[in-house]
Amino acid sequence: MSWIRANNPEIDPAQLEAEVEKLLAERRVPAAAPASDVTPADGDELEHLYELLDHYAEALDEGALLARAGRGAFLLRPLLKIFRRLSRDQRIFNFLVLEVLREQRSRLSRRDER
Amino acid sequence: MNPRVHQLLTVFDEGDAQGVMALRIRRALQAAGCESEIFAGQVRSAPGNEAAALPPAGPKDVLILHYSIGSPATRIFLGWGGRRVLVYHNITPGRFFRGYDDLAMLECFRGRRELGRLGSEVDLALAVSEFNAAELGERGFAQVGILPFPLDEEILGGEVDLRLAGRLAGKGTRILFVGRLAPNKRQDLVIRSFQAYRDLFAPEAHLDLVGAAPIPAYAAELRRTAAGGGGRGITLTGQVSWPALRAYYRAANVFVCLSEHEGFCVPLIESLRGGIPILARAAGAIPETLGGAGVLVEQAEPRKLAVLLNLLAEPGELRRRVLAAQDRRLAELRAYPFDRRLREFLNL
Repeated sequence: MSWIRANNPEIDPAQLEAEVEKLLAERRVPAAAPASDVTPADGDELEHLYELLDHYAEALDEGALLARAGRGAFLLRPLLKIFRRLSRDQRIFNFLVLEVLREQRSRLSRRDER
Repeated sequence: MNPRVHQLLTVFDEGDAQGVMALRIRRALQAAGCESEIFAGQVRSAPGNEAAALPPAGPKDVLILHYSIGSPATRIFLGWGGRRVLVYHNITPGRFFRGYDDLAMLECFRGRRELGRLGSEVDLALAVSEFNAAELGERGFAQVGILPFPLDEEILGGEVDLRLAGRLAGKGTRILFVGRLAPNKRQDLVIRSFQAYRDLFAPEAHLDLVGAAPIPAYAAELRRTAAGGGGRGITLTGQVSWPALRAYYRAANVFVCLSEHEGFCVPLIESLRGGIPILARAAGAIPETLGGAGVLVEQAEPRKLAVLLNLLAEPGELRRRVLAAQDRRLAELRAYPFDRRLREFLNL
């Protein structure tokens, strides 16, 4: 497949591609390099939203945080307690949004199937 | 009497693309005898004014909204009693920010959704590229005019930071990309291609990545990618002044742009003007902005790009041909009657 676009009238893409392959071969670089052009951005935007909501609806992993804090854990414990109380409403809201979105999607797909 | 034609932006900064275009439009409007000021939610430089100071509209007055993300400016725009004109600069699809900046991702989603509601609310929609115009069409805008980003010789030809230019003029080829550090701009691939170029052809080469770093997680990933190859020869400059930016353009041997999404890509026309051969990915509005110039690739494979960087950096046939085509494109852009087209669109 051609990988240089024929946009520039001054350039012959096939000839330039061949020149690139030749120069790579001369330097003993494998021409068929592994695919490295993987975008971090492919996929369904709604799926990304679900994942985000899942993430923010999840409880903070307090055990892991306390383990990482080591001897400072005794200082962290009361702060986490306050944080848990403050973030409770936001977590409930995130759960609800997630459930509403999933319910809407499944209704739409049921309607499409009919 | 001519109508007043004001402009409204989310943020006004004379150094960014929207700011440059707003200034150019203001100059064209004032030359046409219109009273014209710039208003913004956040004002970072003169001659911007706070959005709250926007005067009430007469029926013939015009408000131009520069739109690139949903913001409170949209509400002010919709409350304007005169004619409403939207200039669409594109919203990066939110998915690019996933995992780097979740809030930015959601703001982009919201911006695109809000854009869909504006179609029936504007008297005129303008896009800076056909690519952007097609997006507006998909979102229900009935008639969209194309007003390409203006080539501003005054800004591009201004004062150069000579001390910096002297420092950059040392030995070794300089590869350049200009743009904020953002996942859609794929500076990670630019770094990997540069590392391959340096390993295969030019151990003394430098890569300058010029641009602000608004997404700390992506900037940190770029630093890790650079360090993975030894980190030699790579500079992430952060945001720079106009004189410093001109010094980077002056020192560059090749400009490389591997963005996956661009609504226009102003640094391409700055590179055309700087006489720097361009290697770019055929994505978004990039082919349209280059208009038959530069070398466009469909896939960004670092080792193949390394060879192209080498061919473009050396004074050979490819470089000569690419520069000849770029000069023709530059002449086309220079000949574009921006002021006249603007007046026609606004019926002035």
